[in-house]
Amino acid sequence: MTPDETTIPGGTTPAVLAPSSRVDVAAEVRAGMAALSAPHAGGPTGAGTTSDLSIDEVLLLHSAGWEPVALVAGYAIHSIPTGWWGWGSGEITILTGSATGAFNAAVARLRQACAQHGATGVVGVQIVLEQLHHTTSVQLIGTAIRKTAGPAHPGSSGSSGSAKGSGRATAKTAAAGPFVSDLSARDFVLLDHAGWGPLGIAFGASHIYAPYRPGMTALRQATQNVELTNLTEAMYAAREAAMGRMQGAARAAGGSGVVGVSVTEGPMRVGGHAVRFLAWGTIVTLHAAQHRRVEPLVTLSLDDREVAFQATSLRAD
Amino acid sequence: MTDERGGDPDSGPGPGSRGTSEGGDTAVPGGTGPDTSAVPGGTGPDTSAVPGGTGPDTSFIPGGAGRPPGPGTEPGVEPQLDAPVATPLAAGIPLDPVVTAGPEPAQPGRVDVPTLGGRPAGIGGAAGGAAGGAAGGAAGGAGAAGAAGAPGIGAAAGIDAEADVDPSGEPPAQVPATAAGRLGSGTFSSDLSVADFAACLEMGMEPVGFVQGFDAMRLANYTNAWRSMSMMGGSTGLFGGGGMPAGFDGYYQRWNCPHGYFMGGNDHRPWGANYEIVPSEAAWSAGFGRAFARMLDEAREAGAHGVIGVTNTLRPMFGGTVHEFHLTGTAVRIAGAQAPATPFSTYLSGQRLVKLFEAGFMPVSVVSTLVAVGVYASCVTVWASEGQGYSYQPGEITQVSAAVQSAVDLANARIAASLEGDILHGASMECTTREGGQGDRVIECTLHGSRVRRFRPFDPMDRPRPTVSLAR
Repeated sequence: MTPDETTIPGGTTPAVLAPSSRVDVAAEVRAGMAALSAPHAGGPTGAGTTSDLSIDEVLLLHSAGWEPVALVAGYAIHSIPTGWWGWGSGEITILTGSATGAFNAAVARLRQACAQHGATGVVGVQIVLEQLHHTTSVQLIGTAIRKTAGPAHPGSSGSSGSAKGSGRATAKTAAAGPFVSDLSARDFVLLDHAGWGPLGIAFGASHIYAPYRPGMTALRQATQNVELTNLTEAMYAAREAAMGRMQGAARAAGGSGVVGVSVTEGPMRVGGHAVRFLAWGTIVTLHAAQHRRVEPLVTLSLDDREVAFQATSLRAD
Repeated sequence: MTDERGGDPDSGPGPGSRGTSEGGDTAVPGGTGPDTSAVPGGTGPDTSAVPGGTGPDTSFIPGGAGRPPGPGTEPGVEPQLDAPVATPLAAGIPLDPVVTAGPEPAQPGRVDVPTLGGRPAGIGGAAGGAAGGAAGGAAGGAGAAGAAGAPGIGAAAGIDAEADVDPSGEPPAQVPATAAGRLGSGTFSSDLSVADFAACLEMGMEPVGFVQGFDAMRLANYTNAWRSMSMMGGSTGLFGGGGMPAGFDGYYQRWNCPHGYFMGGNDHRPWGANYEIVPSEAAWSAGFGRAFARMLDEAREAGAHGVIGVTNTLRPMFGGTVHEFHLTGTAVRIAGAQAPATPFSTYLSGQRLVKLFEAGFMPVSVVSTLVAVGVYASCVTVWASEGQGYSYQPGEITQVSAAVQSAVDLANARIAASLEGDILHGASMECTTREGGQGDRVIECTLHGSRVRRFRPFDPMDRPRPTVSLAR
């Protein structure tokens, strides 16, 4: 960080929503009821927008100049041919290929659905990856968003001419196509706040044989507290391969790094003596000319922590 | 069918696993699996009925146009599955005795038996659903409701809460007399927390009753592909052509054998297909629709303008194929507001409902839909699903990908098309798969959410300032 880092215009505005004391909520409700009884301008054929965002997330996105467009999803299932995944050494390329293929296909469909709705990217993607004996399936679902046409708060990347470097970001995003991110809308806005943005989801997988120990070694170690280096080394090998692939995917996408990395590791149902390591996260890149300091407001709550009542405290003894 | 729990005020209708979207062989871009379209003798997937098209609408969308009855729902179609048993409820027979608390205390030893009156045949479209099911057959009752029973909620001809009005102009009496007395007894009940109750009062909403709607229903299991295909009118059987039955306008896609019929003998399937299970969708929609309508009826009975904090649950009863739809919510009345033609409903309550109004959104209705797609696996899909055959390298099982993607896309498209320009807020999507052996399966995708309408122009709030709490 440098001394001349810019702060977010309006970043000192403490309000989230006008408190109820300043808004007559009851009047708002009555206005809403009146609108419900009035003829609806939408018409019977007008398709609406869908999203799985909470109202908090919608408001937050709006404050940054973004709006939800549609609920989008991507799905793919890849086969795993029958094999004996217990004897061998090195990587089980068929399993790795199945996981990688299914994940990338699902992401590609999510991007396509996003593009079909004219959206800029997808946030809050929930990832369900299931690896069974003969299949790997990946389900992705999130909300496609785009920049609002109306005015947004100054300083948000959604507003026109918002921040230095936005042209660079736009060019990079356009080249990569719609972005896909498993970050929540809140994280997305915070990232945007700091001058960064998502480019996509990076995925890395590795399935490694955990070779059997020689018979005499196994016999000798049966009565010892000893590290099983064959398993430890397999985990390290799987970790390095998967993490390397994930970071390689981020580099290929032009990203600076990966945030919010999730990992799944350990034995698997497919093979009896093999381990796997799966890693994924959101590729991020700097959109602004330089990183912006968020400068959070430090708060200290004066609320008492809830004290649980314990009946035993009433005992005389 | 899995349990569904709605009503999470955070984001809408509760937790649920997520599904997928984008489908068909043509709708599965980038698929790396076996391509049957380029195989001599194979005609490739038939994409004549692709997701997102003008397929039938079985969504539970109040005010929606509904869908026409599918082939299996038409009267006169020979039953292929066990005809639904006419339940006591549907036949107008009183429910099992239940002790209830009405405006007059129940006398000792006396059992008040609530009945859901209304149309002579029973409960709105429900009677037609079950009773008509016996005549209509394969649709599992619900699908035949519109054809054989009185039109109403859950009728296959249209799922429309507002349609549940008797032609005579009298509102249907779907509220048991004892419940009606309780709702009008002068005290209210609600499932709101104290915080939500306070928010409710802040909004000028007066809770008037904890309202509920139930529907116990037999939901047939269509996992068996042979029965499902026969049910759809494939009178020639699986090996006699297997084309899309005449009159079927749902999603259908076919995969041909790339090897030629001579290869496999009796165990080698010459073709496979993805097909929308219309009766299953209609049955689900009927059950959900009736439970929802009964909840709204109780709200009307209590003089409410809307129902907030809606939850919806679907769970098995007594095992087997009997399921219970259960919707709950707190009916509210708004001082100084005009009563809408249909009470509004939303999964939200409490402070998030306050934020919704402050942001300029008005709740319209909870909406929900189910799309069911069956997979009759082609030879390639069978092999790939079981790890056998020539699939020595991993590849996409395009038929299954297309089935799931299509189910999700259809659910999304149907809801979106029904919104009349409104917004589906806090959507929750859940996809389940029931294996049927040999790669066959049934995929069911449900989508819930709160439909909201903007009544004030976009007015973004100030960008919130990040905070760091020193607590703990």
